[in-house]
Amino acid sequence: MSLSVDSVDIKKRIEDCKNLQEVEIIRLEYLGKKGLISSEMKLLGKLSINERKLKGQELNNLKTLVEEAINIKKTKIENSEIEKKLQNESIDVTLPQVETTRGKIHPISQTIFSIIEIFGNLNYSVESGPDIESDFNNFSALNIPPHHPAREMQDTFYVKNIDDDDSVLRTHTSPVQVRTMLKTKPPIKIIVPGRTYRSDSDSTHTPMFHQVEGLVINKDATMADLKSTLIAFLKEFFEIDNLKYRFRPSYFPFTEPSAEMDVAFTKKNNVLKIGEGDDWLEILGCGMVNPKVLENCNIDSSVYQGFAFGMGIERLSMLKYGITDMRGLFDLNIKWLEHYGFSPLDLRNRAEV
Amino acid sequence: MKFTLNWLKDHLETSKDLDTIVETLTNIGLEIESVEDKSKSFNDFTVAEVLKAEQHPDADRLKVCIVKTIDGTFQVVCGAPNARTGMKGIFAPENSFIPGTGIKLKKSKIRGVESCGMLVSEKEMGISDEHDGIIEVDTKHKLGQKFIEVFNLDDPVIEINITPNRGDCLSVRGIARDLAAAGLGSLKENTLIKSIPGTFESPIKWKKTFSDDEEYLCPGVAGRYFKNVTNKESPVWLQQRLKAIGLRPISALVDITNYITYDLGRPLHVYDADKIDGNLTMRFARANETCLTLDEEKRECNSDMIVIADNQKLHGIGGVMGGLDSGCSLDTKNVFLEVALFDAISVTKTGRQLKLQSDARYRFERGLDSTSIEWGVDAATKMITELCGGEVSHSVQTKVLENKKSKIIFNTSKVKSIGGLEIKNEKQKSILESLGFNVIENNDIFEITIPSFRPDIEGEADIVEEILRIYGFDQIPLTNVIDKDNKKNILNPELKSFYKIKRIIANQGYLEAVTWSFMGSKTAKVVSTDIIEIKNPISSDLSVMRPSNIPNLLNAINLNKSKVINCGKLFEVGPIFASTLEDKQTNVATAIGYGHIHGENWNSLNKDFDVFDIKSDLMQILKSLNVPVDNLIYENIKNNVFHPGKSSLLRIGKNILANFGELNPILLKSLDIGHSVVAFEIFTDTLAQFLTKKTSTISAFDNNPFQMVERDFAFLFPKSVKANDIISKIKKIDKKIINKVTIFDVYEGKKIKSDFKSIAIRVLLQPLEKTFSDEDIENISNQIIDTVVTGFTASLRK
Repeated sequence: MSLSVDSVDIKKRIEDCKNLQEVEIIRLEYLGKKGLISSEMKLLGKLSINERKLKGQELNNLKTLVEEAINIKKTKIENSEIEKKLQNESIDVTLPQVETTRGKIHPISQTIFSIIEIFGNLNYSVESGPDIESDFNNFSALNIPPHHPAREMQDTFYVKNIDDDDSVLRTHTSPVQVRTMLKTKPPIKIIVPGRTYRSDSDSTHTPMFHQVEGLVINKDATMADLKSTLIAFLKEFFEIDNLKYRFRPSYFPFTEPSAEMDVAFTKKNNVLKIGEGDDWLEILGCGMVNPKVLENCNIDSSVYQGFAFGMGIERLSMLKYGITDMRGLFDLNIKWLEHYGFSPLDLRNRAEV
Repeated sequence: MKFTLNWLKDHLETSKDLDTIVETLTNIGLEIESVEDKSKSFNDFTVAEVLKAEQHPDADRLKVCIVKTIDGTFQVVCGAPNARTGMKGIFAPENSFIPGTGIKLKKSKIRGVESCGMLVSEKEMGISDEHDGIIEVDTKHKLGQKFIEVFNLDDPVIEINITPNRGDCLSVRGIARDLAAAGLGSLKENTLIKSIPGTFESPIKWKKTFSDDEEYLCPGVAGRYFKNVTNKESPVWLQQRLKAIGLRPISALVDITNYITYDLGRPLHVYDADKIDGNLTMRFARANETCLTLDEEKRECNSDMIVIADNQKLHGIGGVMGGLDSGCSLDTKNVFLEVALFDAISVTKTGRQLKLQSDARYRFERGLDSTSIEWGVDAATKMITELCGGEVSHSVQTKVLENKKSKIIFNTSKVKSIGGLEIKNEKQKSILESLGFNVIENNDIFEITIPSFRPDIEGEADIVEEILRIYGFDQIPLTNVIDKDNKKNILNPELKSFYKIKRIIANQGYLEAVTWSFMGSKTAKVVSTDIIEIKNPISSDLSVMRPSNIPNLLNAINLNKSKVINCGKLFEVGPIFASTLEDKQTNVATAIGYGHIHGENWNSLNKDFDVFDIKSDLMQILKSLNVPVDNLIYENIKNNVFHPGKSSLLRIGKNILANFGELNPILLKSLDIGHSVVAFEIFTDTLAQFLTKKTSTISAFDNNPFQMVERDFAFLFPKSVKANDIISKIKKIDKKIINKVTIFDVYEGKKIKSDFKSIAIRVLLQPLEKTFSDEDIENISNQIIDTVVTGFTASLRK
């Protein structure tokens, strides 16, 4: 007995189906419970073993063939139906998207992050202290006695206080030097970024500003180490290898010898370029810690010595990022903040990742 | 401190040019503030001769002049009445920049007559207000001679910043001494200091009335009487020097005192002796005494102030300013001189109380040469007798307190150990000697005598500085600053949360701002009663320390409205202040959100940024800082910042971690804000506890293979029930199995009783050891229902 169906013919019939219903009809015809292949299968029992084997194989092959052809056809019909549907589903993707607000890091913070990163790599740790300070920590311990002309360099805000009458808003971050020396034994190696205050307000001075202080106390830190540290910092901070600088003598009551550092700059078309040129910008003050300060902080100045430095963060920010108006830093102009702010993911480390 | 190059050369023999001198000044610690070298900007103007001056054909007041200059002959139209044939004047050529008018000169036609260049007036040259005619110069001046030479303006003016320790450099001589030490030349002999003998007894004597322990406030005073002097205008050279440094010449006697103040750093005072009644006394002012000072102000004195008095009244305030009544005028015939020493702090206090600054005060505050009483009298005598003639008395002086010569024992190795560079003993010694120190050398030990004009030198560190600054800070070598010590923590946990939170909040879409730590007391009082005030605020809106950071941020809202920005998310991380806080402050990360954050987008939900938006941000931020947000406890906030019914504080244990919610409309109204604003405050120090873990510690992943199951429940609750309490109560049934509890619907309204709300809850269940059976699920569901129903007097909705 031979099979009453022609495989080529079936394939053709499946191929020709126009929709899923037609395919289903063919499926039932061949693969349904009462379909051709099932009926043929039922007849197998009547055959001899050899014939049964042969015929069985033939039927299985046919079944697989039909199944595959139907599946292919089905997918094809389904996809073409989806495609047809898609034709009518077009939307205007040029419509504007919903804007999510973009957060930004303030340039002052970005500058502080950068300073922490650079000094962190030199093994400095970060310290902090309160903004409302005692006269002792802010002045006396730092060798600025009452009525000394040096106090006039730093016009001070005084705080109304019932208990102790001598509180000030710290005029520099240096009182944290005093706090650290009073509570920690050398070696000390810290930086102190923070808010500072002076009663001064014009286009280049704001009553509040930020400083970063550095202090190193050990047995052998020298002026050469100080100079080298600051140059290393400035080169890294401004990302300029051949930075033109000037390290010159100055005076601060809390350091002896004292120095200031200038970097060269040029100004063309109102754009400041740091690191070259014939004009100088003062960028920081520093010096070897005055032995009197060490003694005021209970550190034996015959054993320990060290250096300290301080710089204005606003000035560093403005120079690095080309900000021309200092007061903009403290303004709440959203456009300004968006313009000069940094992406929170912009870590600005050397690998830039 | 200002001086001119030629003035400097009175004291310094040098062949160096201006640029070298200027550079050296900065290098040795006398920082240049400015150098004004007129020779550059006035280079174009030269002496010219008017060959012919004729009436302008078309203008009565104008003349047409033919002017012969070094560069040729030009026709110039001139309106000056003194323009005439044969005169010599100053010619400004075409294209030169006229300093007095700020205009660049162009060739022009004036009433039809061509005019090339200009004959200038003093006003046009910017040297005076004289504009009645053009400058006439003596015909002895050669054609083409520079204007600045004729007018002696070719002397560059140098201004330097003198640090408070260098009182000695508030004198031209002190500056010259430093420059000589730095190798720029040699210090000339001081020709002013020359003893001139007196010929009679001074009719006025100096007295001092201080107790022994107050004697130091005025260690001594000396003087001299000058008889029959002729006070007049100072000679031109003296006037020019004073003008160059910005002082107004007055009369020879007064100018001499000013000159010596700047030349030698020795303030002096001259009295019109005929206006003094009796002797002059240095004493404390008496209560309610007043002094009419030279600046024509009546000064109220107090008993801390040292004053100079005769039998009748006060004639000066010691170390600060002399009196007007006995001041010298052109009529003065007899003069009495004051050369005194005053205590620096006393002068500072007096000057501050009187709010009176002067060249004298400035120098006394910074310390004077303790030997200057003697040489000060000599210098003044020499100049007064030379310029004003007359006869001079013997010196009169009180007892002068002996100033002990201070000595320092200095180990020369300090230069290396502090400065980090090797300088030979020989060199160290020569530097110190050139600065006026006396050095007795004993191998590495120097016994150094400090000169009387350097009261700032107190110890070995000062000596190191003197040596280094003259040797050159640029000679200090560079060292390797890489630190091989073990890595330690850069930030402690408090600072880590303070800084890290900035990035995390910004990442949530907030713009970081930095605002003042101050605010106005009016606003501050709206948000707090515990306010720290500033004694000397810069303005009334910056008069107290901010008790909250929210009002400052709120200022952004109206500020940006004008830029048509009506929504925003802003934050600041910084201190807030209250007297009850430790160190009176604590760090807070404060954020506000307002308006239609997604703008006017066609596709966005049309609603303002609300409590749940900011709560969502807040929770993300807290999670990013390892805060176990599921353990947060909600409580009412007890302040006036937030809306009492639409806010909450969040705490874990005793620590309040954060506040959030809608802001109090009363606060908003006080700041003229008419819409709702939501905010959060995170107290960053309290987050430190969650940041102590190392970043490398992370728990193992639990890959539970069993099928999770979701079950939904809807309950009717009394309105007062808090959602968070429901969630935590359900979670507590079995923390391991109950994986997540979410609220997917909340309904209040007509369909249910008015004091009730319907809340639909979805619970996600995680089998631990085997897949749940139907019975397991049934059991847990019943447990959940029982717990909620009994715990909250709720009823299950079916």
